[in-house]
Amino acid sequence: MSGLAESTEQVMFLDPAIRNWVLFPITVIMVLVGVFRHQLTILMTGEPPKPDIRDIRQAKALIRGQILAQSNSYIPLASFNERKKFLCSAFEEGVYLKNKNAKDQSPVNLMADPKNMEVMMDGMKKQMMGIVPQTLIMGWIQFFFSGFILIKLPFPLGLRFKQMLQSGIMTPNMDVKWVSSLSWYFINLFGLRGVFSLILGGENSADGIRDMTAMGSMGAMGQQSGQPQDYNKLFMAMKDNLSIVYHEWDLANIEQRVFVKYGKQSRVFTSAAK
Amino acid sequence: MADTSELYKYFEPTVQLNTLALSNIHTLTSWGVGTAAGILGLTGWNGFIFFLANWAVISALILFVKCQGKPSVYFKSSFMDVAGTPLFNTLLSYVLVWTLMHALVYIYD
Repeated sequence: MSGLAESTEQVMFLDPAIRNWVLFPITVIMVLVGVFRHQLTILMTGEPPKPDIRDIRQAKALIRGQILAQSNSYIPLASFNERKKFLCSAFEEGVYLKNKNAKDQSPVNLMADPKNMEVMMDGMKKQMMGIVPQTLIMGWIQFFFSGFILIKLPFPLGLRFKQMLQSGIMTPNMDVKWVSSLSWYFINLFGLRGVFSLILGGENSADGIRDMTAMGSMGAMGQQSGQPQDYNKLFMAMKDNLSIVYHEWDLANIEQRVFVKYGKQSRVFTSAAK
Repeated sequence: MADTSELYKYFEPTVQLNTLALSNIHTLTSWGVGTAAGILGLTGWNGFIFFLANWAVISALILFVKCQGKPSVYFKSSFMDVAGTPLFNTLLSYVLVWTLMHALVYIYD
C-alpha cells in the first residue's frame, strides 16, 4: 500500500429532474417575488407629508443656535454678544415654538398627530412587505421541497451546519457539502441582491437582508419615536449652552500679530478692555 | 476652512451614479468568474483563491483603465470604495453562481 491518503470524496449523481423542477424554480420564483415586492412597495408608498412651516422654523432656530455656538470664533465679540442676546431672549419667550400655548404643558402624545401617523403606517407597511414574502417562501420550500438532497456546495463547512442544512435527511455519514433545498434558498437570498440591483436599479425594495436587519432595529426605533421632541426644553438647553460659550475672536489683535510675525514688534500686547 | 471644501468637493448624485455603475460591473464580472469557477470544477479553497485573484485583476483594471489612475476623482474614499467595500457582496454573488454552475456540470447527470 502506498502512503497516499485517499480523499474521502463522496461522489454522487443526482437526477436531472431535481434540477428542472426544484433548482431552477426556486431561483426563478425568488427573482419574480423580489420584483413583485419592489413594484408593490412603489405603489403602496404614499407621498411624503408636506412639512409645516412652523415645524421647520422650530428646527432651524435650534440649528441657528448651534451654528452660533460652533462658529463663535469667526465674528468679533460685539456681534457675537448681540446675536447671543437676541437668540437667548427668543428662546426664553418661545418665539420659535410651534404653538406657544403648549409651552408649559406636558408634551403631546405623538400618536395624536395625524401627519406622523401616516409616516409610521408607511414604515410599518414597508416592514410587512419585507417580512411576509420571505416567510411565505421559506414555508413553501420546507413544505414541498424537503426530505431530499438538492445540491452539493463546492466549499466545505463545519459539522455544526449539518443539522441546519440537511434538515430533512437522517444520515450520519453524508458530507456537509450535500445540502437540502432550504440552504439553496439561503444561498439565493444572499446572492440575488446583485441581480436585483442590476434589474431594478440602485434603490430597490427587493433586498431580503435589508428586511432582516430592519426587523432588528424596528424594536428600538418604535420606542424612541414615541416621544415627541420637546422643543421648549431643547431651546432652554441651547440657551444655557450659548451663555457658557467662551468666545475668542480669530482676528483679535490681528495687527499686532502681523507685526510680531514679521519681526517688527517683540510680542503682542493685549489691552485690558477688549 | 479646509473641512468645508473637502465636504463640498463631491457632487453627491454623480458619486451615487458612479457607485451604482461600479456595483453593476462587480455583479456582472462575478457572474462570469463564478461560471468559470463552476465549470472548471474548483472546490474549497481553490475557488476562493480564484475569486480573490480575479478580484485583484478586475480592481486593477477599474482603477487604471476606467478611473485613469485617479480614483479619488470618481469616488469619495478612492481605493477602499473601489476594491474593499464591494468585496463581500460580490463574494456572495460569486458563491451563488459558483455553486449553481458546479452543480449543473458535475452533479447532475
